[in-house]
Amino acid sequence: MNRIGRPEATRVFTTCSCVPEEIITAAGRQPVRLLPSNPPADADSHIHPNTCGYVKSLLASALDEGGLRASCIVIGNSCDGMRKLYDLWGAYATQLPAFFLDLPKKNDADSIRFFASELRRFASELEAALPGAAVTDESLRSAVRAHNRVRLLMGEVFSLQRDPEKSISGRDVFDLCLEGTRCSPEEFIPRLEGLLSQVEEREPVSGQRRILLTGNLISRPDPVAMIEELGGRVVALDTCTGLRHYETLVEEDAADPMLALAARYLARPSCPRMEGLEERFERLQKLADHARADGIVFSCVKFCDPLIYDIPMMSSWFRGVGISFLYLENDYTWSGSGQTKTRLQAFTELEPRV
Amino acid sequence: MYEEMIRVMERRSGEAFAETGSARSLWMHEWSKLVLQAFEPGKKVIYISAYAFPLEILAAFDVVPFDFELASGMIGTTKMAVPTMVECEDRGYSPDICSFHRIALGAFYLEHFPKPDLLLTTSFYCDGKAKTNEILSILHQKEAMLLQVPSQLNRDSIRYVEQQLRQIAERIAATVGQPFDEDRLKEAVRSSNRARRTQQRMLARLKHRPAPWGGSQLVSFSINSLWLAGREVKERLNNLFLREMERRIEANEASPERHRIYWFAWIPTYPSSLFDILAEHQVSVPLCETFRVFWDEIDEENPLEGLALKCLKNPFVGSGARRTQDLEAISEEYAIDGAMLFATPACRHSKTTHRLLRDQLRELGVPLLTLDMDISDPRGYSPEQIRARVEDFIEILEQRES
Repeated sequence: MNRIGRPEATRVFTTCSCVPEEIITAAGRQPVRLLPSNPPADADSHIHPNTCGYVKSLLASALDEGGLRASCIVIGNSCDGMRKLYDLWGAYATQLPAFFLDLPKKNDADSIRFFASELRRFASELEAALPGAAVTDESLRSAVRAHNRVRLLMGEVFSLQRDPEKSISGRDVFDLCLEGTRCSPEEFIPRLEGLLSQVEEREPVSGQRRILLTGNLISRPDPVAMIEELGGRVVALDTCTGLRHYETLVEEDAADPMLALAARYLARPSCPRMEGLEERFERLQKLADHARADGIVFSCVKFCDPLIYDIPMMSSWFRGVGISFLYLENDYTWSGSGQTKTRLQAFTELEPRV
Repeated sequence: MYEEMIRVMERRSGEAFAETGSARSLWMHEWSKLVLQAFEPGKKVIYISAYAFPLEILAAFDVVPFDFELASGMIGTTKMAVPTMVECEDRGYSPDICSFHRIALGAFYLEHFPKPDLLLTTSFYCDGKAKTNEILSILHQKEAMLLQVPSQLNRDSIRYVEQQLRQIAERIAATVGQPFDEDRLKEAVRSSNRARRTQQRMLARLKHRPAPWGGSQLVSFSINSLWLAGREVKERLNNLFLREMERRIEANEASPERHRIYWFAWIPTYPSSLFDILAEHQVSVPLCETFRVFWDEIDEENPLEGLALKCLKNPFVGSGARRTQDLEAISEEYAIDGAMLFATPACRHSKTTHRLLRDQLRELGVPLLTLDMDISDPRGYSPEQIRARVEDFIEILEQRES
């Protein structure tokens, strides 16, 4: 049994927020975002060292025999690294079956239709591989409703996070998001409802720098904890396990639930793997305005190609609109946190945004 | 400055072709002529990725294709490379970004390249290329279109790619103000099919021992000449190279060889001793993965579907198994006794699976050298280190032979 009380065989690991969890839930399994703690360097004998630390840590966890307890893993074609991870998984980590899910980088009508066909193929493969798994329209609709409920509740959490008079901190939200990566909706919904009913008022603290923390994957609390220990407050957590994972609902009771899923997953606020650089900047700017953020901290796992190309243009965009911008590179394990702390300290001492 | 360099290249290669009639000089001449067209006033220029995008479509229009990566590769052969990259890096672009792309972005700021009217690229080979394409489209304030090529080959993926190709053709038509002429596309496809057949004959000749051609010129031609795909000149070039190979075989002029290696990925564009070291030790490269004919003849009556299939069958799309599936046959037919993977740091899609290549080759008794060396950035190039690594590898080949 895992720590949240479900048999490990019911778990299905995912590696990207782009994998529709609803299909796994509809198949009677529990989607769990795999966020291993294995040192990325443990995979260096199997993958080129200058590959993204998250991909390497995933592979290291797979090579660590007996380390992974689930029925299978779904690897999305999120980026070059993930695609190659699937190849390596199939060759060197055969104890845990891997499924591959193709993901277009654009969201026009043809791409949504194609992605829906890919989701149908994936559902069929899941049904064939997992005993008793049956993804029907009805089970999908039910899963959509459950995951949408989680999204709405998390939306309330993110809203409270922005509110200076509420006691929910960036660290609280980070921990909750992490919990969300490994909980089923049926476990997470009551947890969130309970939490939301207990949020207390607090005295707004003057002089706190309000930080929008964005980027790709942050699976450890280090940057959030550092910002808040330094007197800042993370007022928005726009990562692929944070806000972006929960934004935008799937159309409920759609005639074709797979098409509805495809539309939501491709059209939601995107990660840098998708087309739409300027749209992403505009969205982030709106988010910064909405959260009344004094500055943006952009966190990136080193060697993340979809993201590192964006940095210069993004940095100049936000400088141009008067929002302070700090780019923080990390190795997925957040080693070298002393240097990160120094940079964050200087950043949180900046003048508040007017 | 870039235009001037290409102009000099066009003149010199033209003179060389007139004097020698060599395939290489014709290739350089035709290549530089095409690049120069992109600088001509009034020409409609379309940025493309020649090694991934089916250029036959562009041959159906009066447009000039311009490949910003291959054009960057040409800068990489000169002293312009580092200053162009520095121009990009000074604007905050990370050295972890592919040097081809740093040159392409630096070339924008230095105004080396012609301005595009439309930018087209594909979702493969790599994430970085699609990113650079989008950034260039923003900088030029011109539209970019991405051809998404799914990993799997099935009815849905064929239809999806075909639909996108039709939309792209229509968008080109709108950009250049010229209707999409399917008959012209069919003619380009016929030409492409003829070039493909000649390439198969070239591949057959490369099995000859000693190899009548190969090495850096083969790898370079295999990628660079794709810029000419769908044009009659590509057929002519293939035929000329084929005749040269046949002549060398007949005249027994091919360089002596002790070892034959299969080449994965790319080669350095800047001057390096890599191929000189191989030649010194009589190691030939009679085949590279980028020269293989991975696609079937394109259906001339159904060209968009045929081109969709050509994209979908590219070995760099989808599973890495496509790069290894024919290794046994290759190893036997080309009498390969070693393999080399050119691992430029940022080319993560190619080198990430080096272990997979190594293990599959090992089963065939073929050792693999993963050579970490940048494709276009000479700043980290160490001739001694490369010599040591390559010679160590050759020693392994020698030991196995004995």
